[in-house]
Amino acid sequence: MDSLLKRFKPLLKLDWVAAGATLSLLALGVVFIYSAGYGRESDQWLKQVLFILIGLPLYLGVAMFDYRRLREMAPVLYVVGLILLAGLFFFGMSIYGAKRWYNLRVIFFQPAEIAKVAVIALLAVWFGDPLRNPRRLRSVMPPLVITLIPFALIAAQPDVGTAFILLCIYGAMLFVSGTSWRILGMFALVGVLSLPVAWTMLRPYHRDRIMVFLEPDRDPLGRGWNVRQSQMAVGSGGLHGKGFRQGTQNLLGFLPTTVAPTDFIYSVIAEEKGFVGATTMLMLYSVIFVALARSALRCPDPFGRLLIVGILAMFCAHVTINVAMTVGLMPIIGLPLPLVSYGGSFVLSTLLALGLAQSVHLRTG
Amino acid sequence: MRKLSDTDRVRLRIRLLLGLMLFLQGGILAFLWNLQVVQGHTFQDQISSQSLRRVRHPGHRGRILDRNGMVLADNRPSVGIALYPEELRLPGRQSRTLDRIDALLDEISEKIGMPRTLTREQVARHYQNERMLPLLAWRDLDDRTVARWAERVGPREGVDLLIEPVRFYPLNDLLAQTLGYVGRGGMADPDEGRFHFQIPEMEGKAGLELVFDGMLRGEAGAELVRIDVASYKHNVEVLVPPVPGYDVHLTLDARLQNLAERVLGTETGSIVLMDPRNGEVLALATYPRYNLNDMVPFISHTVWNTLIQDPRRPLVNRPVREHYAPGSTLKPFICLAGLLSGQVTEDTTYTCHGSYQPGPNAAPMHCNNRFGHGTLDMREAIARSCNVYMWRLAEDIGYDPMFATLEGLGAGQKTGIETDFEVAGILPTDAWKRQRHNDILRRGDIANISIGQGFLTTTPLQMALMTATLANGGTHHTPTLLRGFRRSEDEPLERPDPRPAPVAKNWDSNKVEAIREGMLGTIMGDRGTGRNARVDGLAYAAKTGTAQYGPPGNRRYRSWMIAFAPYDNPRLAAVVLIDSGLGSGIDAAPRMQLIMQALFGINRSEAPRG
Repeated sequence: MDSLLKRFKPLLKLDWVAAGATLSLLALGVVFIYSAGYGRESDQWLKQVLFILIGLPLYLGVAMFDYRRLREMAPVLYVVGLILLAGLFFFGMSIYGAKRWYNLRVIFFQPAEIAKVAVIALLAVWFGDPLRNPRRLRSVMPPLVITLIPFALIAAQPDVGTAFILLCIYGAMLFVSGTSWRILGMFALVGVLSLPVAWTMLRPYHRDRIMVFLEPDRDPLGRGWNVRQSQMAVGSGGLHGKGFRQGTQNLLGFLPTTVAPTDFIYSVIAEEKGFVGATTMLMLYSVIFVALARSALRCPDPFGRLLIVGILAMFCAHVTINVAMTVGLMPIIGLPLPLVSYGGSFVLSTLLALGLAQSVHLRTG
Repeated sequence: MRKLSDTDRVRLRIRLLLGLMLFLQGGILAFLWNLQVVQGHTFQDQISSQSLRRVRHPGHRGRILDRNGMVLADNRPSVGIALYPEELRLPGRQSRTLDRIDALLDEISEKIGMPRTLTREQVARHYQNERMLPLLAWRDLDDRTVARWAERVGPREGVDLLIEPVRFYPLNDLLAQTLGYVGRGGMADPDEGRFHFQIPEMEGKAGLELVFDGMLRGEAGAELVRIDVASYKHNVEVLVPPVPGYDVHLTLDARLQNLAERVLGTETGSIVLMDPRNGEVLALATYPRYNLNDMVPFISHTVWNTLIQDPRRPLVNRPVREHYAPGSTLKPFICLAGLLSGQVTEDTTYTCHGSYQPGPNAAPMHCNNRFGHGTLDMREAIARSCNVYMWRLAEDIGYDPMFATLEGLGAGQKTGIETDFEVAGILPTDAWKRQRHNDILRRGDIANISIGQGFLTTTPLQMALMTATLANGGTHHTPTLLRGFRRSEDEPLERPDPRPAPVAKNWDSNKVEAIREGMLGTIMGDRGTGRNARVDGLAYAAKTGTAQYGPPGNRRYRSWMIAFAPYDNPRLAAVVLIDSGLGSGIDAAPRMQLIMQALFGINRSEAPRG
């Protein structure tokens, strides 16, 4: 009994602030998934509870796992991720014309989730090597290639949102690796210059969404519908919101029922809990950002540090992009809100990534 | 020294990164403050004015007409009472809403004096799966019921009259299998909540209704209906007007179709009438049929079960979907193969002693005349349908020219007519037989094929096509049912893709003429097998065929007759086939005679076309 307790003793040193914020967000997610499905007899909230019950042991288990062993595993994980991504084109399940998932019966498994973690791990190995001078162009190009291969595979599914997350991860880790401002500036310039090329490669419906964003009244009943309704939901929430389960936009089906509990959950929250609720959510996320950054700051091991930075970048990019698009600050690119949106595969992978950050935290100092 | 500064730089960078992230969140909060607190009330106003209902209206479905403008498929308005489940929704458990709908249905049922048509389970299923579609609680109300509705119930929250177009087939079972029928279409693309409600759309489920669905179906329009809390419609704003579908004009002639179906009577079989000058199909008859109006707006279980359990398979469009041994009707084409091969001429004679032995050890095969036809030339062999002549001819020319000619005439290939489910029939090859029977084609097989028995099969339409090609002297026209599409009377008929160009065979006219004369002899010759089918005042050409099928000793036959008329300038190619007949002369020839009599006879009741 004692020995069993001893095994779990390291868990006492968890970053409790981050863990607390994580749990709060998960709980709020369930509450608002319930609200979004209210009146439809939807049991999605119950499924979400189930996924969380599976996810929390995973979170703790990954925290117990020594992240340093990931150093050797990273290339393997990366290759497996690429193979799974490529396999999607043949065995993937097609939903609305995009092949992003494997249908594993119990769960729709999205290999992009593995690919993101694998890219973070492999970039952390590369940038964490003290023998490399991050100020040399030579040492920042290979990780770019490492990022762009899964980027291309994911963008071709097409899943532009997730592909974009990979670029954010690369940017953040490159930045933290201590590279020169000259290189950063150059990449930024190349990025801006390649925008026209990217535009031509986008699918027509993506272009429509961007056009609608730039000109919201362009097609108010068609492409512009979701953004407009979402923005109306958020805006009509006011300071205090309409009250739990009272969001008329959601309840009356103006906010499409297919996306309310997933990508647009934030607008359900903002409608029902108003500015106060919306702010609270962002605060809880910011708590996690700060906690992760603090863990990174006190970590002496460059590999662990970069690992956390990558996870932080991924997490923050997801949150920012999702919130910005639901409130109408960004074109819709279809990314869920971490920890809160309905979806088993994404809950599990987010908890896995945060657990990995905890693993670094546990083994520091 | 450098190491330390590196670490410091990294720590600084992490702080900068965190700063950027928090800055972004701050930016979003500032935006939200503006959106929710500063501008909040304008959005609240927008929402309260948003009791707009977006309704999808399908385009008016086009009609199907025969070549003279007679309507074969039309729409009629049907008044029903529809529930709008979204509007009837109560907060809380779904059962509350269902209770409400249940009570409402009972109340209306009593007031309009019509029994309920929907069970609670049906309502629940609709509510779960198709909430965007109005739920039709009663269909096809008569005027008195509508009056009772207006007087005692009237429109109220979540219930209203719905006038819905319903497909209507004025001629009931005429051309049933070819025309096909419509059913209720599924919901439009799940374009994520663009519409609150969709008016149900008709969708082709079978036959030409299915094949031409894309043209018949219009483009859906959208309406914005402003509704107050009591569900009264304040105004209706048409956003996108629906576009009606095209009318489909067929080459088919309803009068000829009716004639063919009447002539066929209640015998399971097929009749095909075609214009040999252009490949236009004039009639495509089969029996048994079914009443198309039984299939709309939906097929009841009783009707469906009756149809699929009927051993005569009324759903099958026999002229294109079934293939049979053509029997002796193939003989003219075998002779044509001989002539085209150059190995025999029309004057080549063979002597029939009543039987033929395909190989040294093979069992003898018998001619239809056990005592033998004597010495015959080709014309006479066709007119009198001599088997031995064909066997000897086939032995002399070999299978290759037979195959080439039959293939060129379209055997073993789909004709390309627009109907659904067309089959290709079988034109056997060595490869085909190896696959099926693990053997190559032997002399006995080829002898059988030369008299239209054995492995070779054709559809009635294919026989009509082959007859037409012979009738017009060697031009292959792809059979068609379609004259064209148009939206209104004053538009020209259009075909989206042009018909395949006719293929001229460049046959030697003397050779074709010999075959045609042989077929003329069938009817007009003293000993022709079809001399009982003569029609006063008409010279026409034909070939009979009685093909065995089923187990040995089966006393039933495929009774065939192919014909073209008038002989000199053919305007009609015709095929009659009785699936399970007593013999060509008994079932097929009298029917062909009736058709020719009606179209070309001196005392004809209906004027011939052309």
